[in-house]
Parts: sequence; C-alpha cells; structure tokens
Amino acid sequence: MALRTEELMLNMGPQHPSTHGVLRLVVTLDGENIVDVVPDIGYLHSSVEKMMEYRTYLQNVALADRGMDYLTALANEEGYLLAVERVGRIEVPPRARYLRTIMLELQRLSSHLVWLGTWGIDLGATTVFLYCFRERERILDLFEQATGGRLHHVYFRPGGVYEDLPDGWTDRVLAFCDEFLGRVDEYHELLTGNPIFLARVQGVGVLPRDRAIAMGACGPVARASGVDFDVRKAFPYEAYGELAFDVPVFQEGDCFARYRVRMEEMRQSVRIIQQAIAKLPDGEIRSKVQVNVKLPRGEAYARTESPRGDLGVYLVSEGEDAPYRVKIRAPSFSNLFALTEMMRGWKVADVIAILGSVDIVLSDVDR
Amino acid sequence: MSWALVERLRERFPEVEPFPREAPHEAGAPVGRPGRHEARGPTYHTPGAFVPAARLLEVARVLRDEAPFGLDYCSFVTGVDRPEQDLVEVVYHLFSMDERHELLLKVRVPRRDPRVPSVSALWPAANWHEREAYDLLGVVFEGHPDLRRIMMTDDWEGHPLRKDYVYQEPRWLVDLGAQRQREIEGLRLGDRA
Repeated sequence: MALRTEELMLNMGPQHPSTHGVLRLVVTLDGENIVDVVPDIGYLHSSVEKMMEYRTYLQNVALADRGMDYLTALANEEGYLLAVERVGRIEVPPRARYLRTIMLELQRLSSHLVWLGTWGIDLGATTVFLYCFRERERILDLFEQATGGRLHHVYFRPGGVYEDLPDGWTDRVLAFCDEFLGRVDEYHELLTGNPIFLARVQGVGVLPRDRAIAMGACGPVARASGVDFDVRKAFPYEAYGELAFDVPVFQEGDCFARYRVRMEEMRQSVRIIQQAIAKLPDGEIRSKVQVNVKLPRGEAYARTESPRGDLGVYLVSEGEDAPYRVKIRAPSFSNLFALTEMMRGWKVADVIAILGSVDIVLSDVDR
Repeated sequence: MSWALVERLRERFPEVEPFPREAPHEAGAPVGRPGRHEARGPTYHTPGAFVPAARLLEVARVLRDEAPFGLDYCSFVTGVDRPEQDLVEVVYHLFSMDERHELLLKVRVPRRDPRVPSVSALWPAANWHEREAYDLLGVVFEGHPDLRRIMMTDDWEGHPLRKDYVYQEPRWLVDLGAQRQREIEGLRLGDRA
C-alpha cells in the first residue's frame, strides 16, 4: 500500500541568517523533497532608480555606490558611469582606465571572499570564513589607502577617478597578489579536499545550460552551466581588452561547478591585476568634465561584469543635469529568479547549499 | 554590428520603426555645454526599434527563434514614463548568447491604460522584470502568469516610477508619528534641563 503524503509549507526568512539578508523563501515540501520555492523579495527596496532622477550625475555616483550591492560598491559605480560616459561621450584617460580595472578586480576578490566564507559557514565549514576574512581585510586596507573608503569608496568619477594612487600602493598590491595565489590553494585544500563539503555540493542544484539562458541567469552561475559568456571578454570595457585572462566555464551546472568557477575567477583576477599594474600608463587620471555636467539627449544600455554577473545600466538622458530614467539590471535579481529552477526536486537540506552557491546580495536584488 | 540586425528586422516587419541613427560625432567636441543639445533629438547608443504593441508577440517570437536573430536571452524589461507625450515606453533588452548581438525593443503604449502582451512565455526571465515594471510603472502585461507587485507591499497605492508620483506617508504611519510625538511631549523633558 502506498503511503499517503501531504505537502508542507515552510517559511524561511525574512530573518533567517542563511538567506544572507532579508529574503523570504516560501518552500513547499513533500517530506524532505522540495516541490516548489517561491522567493518573496522587496524588503530592502529603496527605489534607487527613482532617487537617481532627482540627483545630478555626480551625486548619483555615491548613490550607485551605496544604494545597490553593498559588497561591490566599485562595480556599481562602474556600471553606472559606463552608461553616463557612453551617453555623454566622455573619454576616460588610459591611466584612469587601468586604475579602474585594478580596483574592479580587487573588488571581485573581496566579494568572492565574502561569498566563499559565508557559504562555508552555511555548509558547516566554519574555518574557511576566518581565512577568507583575513585576506579580505587586507584588500579593504588597500582600498582604504587608495580611495579612503573600505566598503563605500565613491572613487570613480565621470571621465576618470578621484585621486591618483598613494606612494608604494602598487607594490603592496603585488605583494598581496603573490601571497593570495597561495591562499587560494589553501582554500582548495580546505574545501575541495573535504569529503563532507563535496557530498553536499557535488551534483546538487543542477541548472542545465538551456534553462540557465531562459531563466536569465548570468555571471558565475551561467558560466557554471556551460554558458561561455563574460562581459569583460565579449564587450571589453576599461582596460580588459588589453589584458590576457581566461574565462572559466564548467558544464556540470551544479553547486560545485559554481564554486569552481569563482575559485578560478579569483586566480584570473590576480592575473589581471598583475598585468594591469605592469602596464599601468602614466598621465592624466581624469578628463575635464564639469562638476554639474549636463549630458546630451540620448540613451544607452551599458553592461559590465560585476562579481555577481551581468550588471547593466540603462540610462535615458533628456539633456538635463540629472538622468531622466535609470534602470539598473541587477545580476542578483536575475540569478535569484533562476533559484526555483535549481531547487526543485532536491532535499530541504540542500536549500541553503544551493542558495549560497548562487551568491545573491539582497540590496542588489531589491535596489 | 547590431544596427544591421535592426535593418533585417525591418525587412521582415515593415511596421517596425528603427531608432533614428546617430549622426557621426565630431571628435573632441566639448561635453556638457548646457542648452546646446536641446534642439536635437535623442541619440540612441544601443541599437533597437519601436514595435507596435499589437505585433509584439509575433516580432518577439521571430527574434527568439529564427536566424539571423536567435535572441535567446532577455536581459531586462522596464518602462519609461513620458507624461508630456502621454506615453509609457516599455523597453526590452534582448541578447544572443551565441551570436553576441543585442537589440532594444520599445513599445509605446498610452499612459492612461498601458497594456502590452507578456513575453514571459517566450523568455521566462522576463517574468520578474515584468512584475517589477507593473509594480513601479503600472504597465499591465496581459497573459502574465503571476502579475503581482514585487517590490512594494501588496496594498501599496500608485506606481512610484511614474513621473507624477508624489510620495505620501501612509495614514497609519502619520498617526503613529503624531502619537509618539505626544508621548515624548508628555515626558516634559524640556522642563528638567
């Protein structure tokens, strides 16, 4: 005789520590099996897009920095400024382009370290968190020396960057890079060499390639599903077109593949930073742009590769000193939508493993 | 690269109106001079076309399935409110993962009753983006499987990204604030100082 089962509705969040912010997941369970997951978002909605319409282009740099993903402030500034510079046809001097590239890749390292550490905690591997935050602290120190801010930098400006580097900064970055490659190997030993970790992530939460594209997944999540697309390679911005780096792509589409993509990305980021510092040109760091700049009428969609994926800004200018409309295409928003697809059919214990592997930041989802 | 794609789209659908092409830019021209650009039309830096709402689904299906388009990835759906033209522009950004080309689609709908067919059956990724455009701009996507507010609370009134939207504190919050103020005044903190 078949045993009759009943579906159970389980509410996770919005104050659950493993949701990495204020995310509510309504999980429908049949025993241990996940039947459906409905994410409920909007708890951190601050309407950055509306606020941007009331601030000048320069003020909006700070708003993009703070109002979106709080772990990748510089990547947000870059996404916004790329759109502004495209509409305004503002040139960025070579030195500033390289400085931005270095900063963006350092940002990618620090963001991936937070992801790795917190995901480790989610899965019960507490040690890796301590290692990751030790290295992240050094990156934040480097940021502080160069930009004055540890988390929120407001370092980029329309047409360049705010300030040149302090003396000896590049040497400190290079020293850190050399050391960091060894650290990545350590993380690998801690996690990839850990059978419990492997059992929880290998083959779990599979997202096939065609579903990844259809659901709008982007960044490391898509690349772990075999989508060979990286904005830095496909539409090079800043100095990425002049630097050599590989885009890691894995076909499996499971949590382990997403982990391996990010681990490899950290190595590639180090490679980019080292090359960019070696090639760093001299000269101006900022082209002449009025403080209260008015952009010509026009619109553009600029895409960047933020640590979380394809961050795009669609900017409409009506010739004023403030944007007419800004649409922020947040990578976490799209990746979170693909979450349901990844979770269906897995066990309730996998919810945390899968959610962590997607690497969402809720202030990016809600904006 | 993708402007050629717009031309191909117009050959297929004559009623599609490509964005006006930008004039070649004079190098080294100063940027941000106020008042200089007002007479000129907007420059479209990303290729795309205006599509009539009635033909949207048909155009979208061709764009997704047929060569040379193959636009299998929907980056975002949003809207731009234009009260002076009494319009809402619904904007779609499409991208091809294999061909690496992109296209913007714009659908102009009346501001009073903005309705477009939902493309979430073609691109599931559009689902949440359409909900967001509905929530923040009031665009109704017909045939959407789950058209609810996504950012604001379910009982929110108005659509915040409309240009004429004025934020008002909800009544209960105003009352609560007034009550707290009375309580504080009841403590007579000023007298003790």
